[in-house]
Amino acid sequence: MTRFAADTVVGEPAVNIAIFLIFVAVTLVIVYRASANNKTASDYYAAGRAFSGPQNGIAISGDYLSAASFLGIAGAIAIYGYDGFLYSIGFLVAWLVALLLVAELLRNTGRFTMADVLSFRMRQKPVRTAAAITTLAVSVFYLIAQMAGAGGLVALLLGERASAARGSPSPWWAP
Amino acid sequence: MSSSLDGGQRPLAVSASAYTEIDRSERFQELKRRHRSIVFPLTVIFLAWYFLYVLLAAYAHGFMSHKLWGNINVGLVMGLLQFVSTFAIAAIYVNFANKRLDPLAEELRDELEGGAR
Repeated sequence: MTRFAADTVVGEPAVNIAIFLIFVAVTLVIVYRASANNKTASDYYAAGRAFSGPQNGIAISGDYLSAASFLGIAGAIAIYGYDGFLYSIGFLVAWLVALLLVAELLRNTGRFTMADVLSFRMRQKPVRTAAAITTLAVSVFYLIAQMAGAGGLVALLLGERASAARGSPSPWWAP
Repeated sequence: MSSSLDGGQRPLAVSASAYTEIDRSERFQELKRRHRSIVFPLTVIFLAWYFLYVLLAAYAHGFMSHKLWGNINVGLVMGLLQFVSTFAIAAIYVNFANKRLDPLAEELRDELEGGAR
């Protein structure tokens, strides 16, 4: 195996990738076992309403402490200092919009997704199509940045030069 | 809420006229008023406070880089205060919802759906 930049290699690539694959396998098993019990939308979105408030809070924090918020912000502050810190505050304050303007009203409708709420009083098909297109458009741009970051990380684990594997000079911390 | 609730596919358990009746009722309007009375002012406050911070960071470099003590400058302190205000607003809202919104909403829903959840 050719190593382009020996000083950036972290550990033994074979061990790295084995640990990575074990995590993937364990996650897939857990997801498969959990999904076998999902019968209704309530099961799927709200775990059958079996969670208490604090448990739900921990689950939601786990959701938001993702690569974007956690690794991304830590990296942004490490590289850009104060500018990265300022960027992270945008993430934080944006949650107030969800809390104050969306959460209560969404809950009161008894629906789980924005598309469900919008199509509640309108024609299902066009509304759901529009919601799906919007979701996909946002997800694509989000995914491109995520993939660039993931590519950099995997390249590091495999011992390849990061920018070659990623194919672009974008920063690795992009959300 | 019943477990048969599945997205938009659920047939309405309550007739549409019952919904309009509730919508016209004094207590439902009161619930909406209470919700808006807390949500709108808080939204204006946190947005103004946040944009003040961002605009100062963009246009008032001298003020933001003024050192208060050691390496701690005004910009850093204002950023940390954004965290404080965000958690404070969340706490205020939760407190308000528990005391003034949820009991009334629960009451209305029990009445509308006959206590069946």
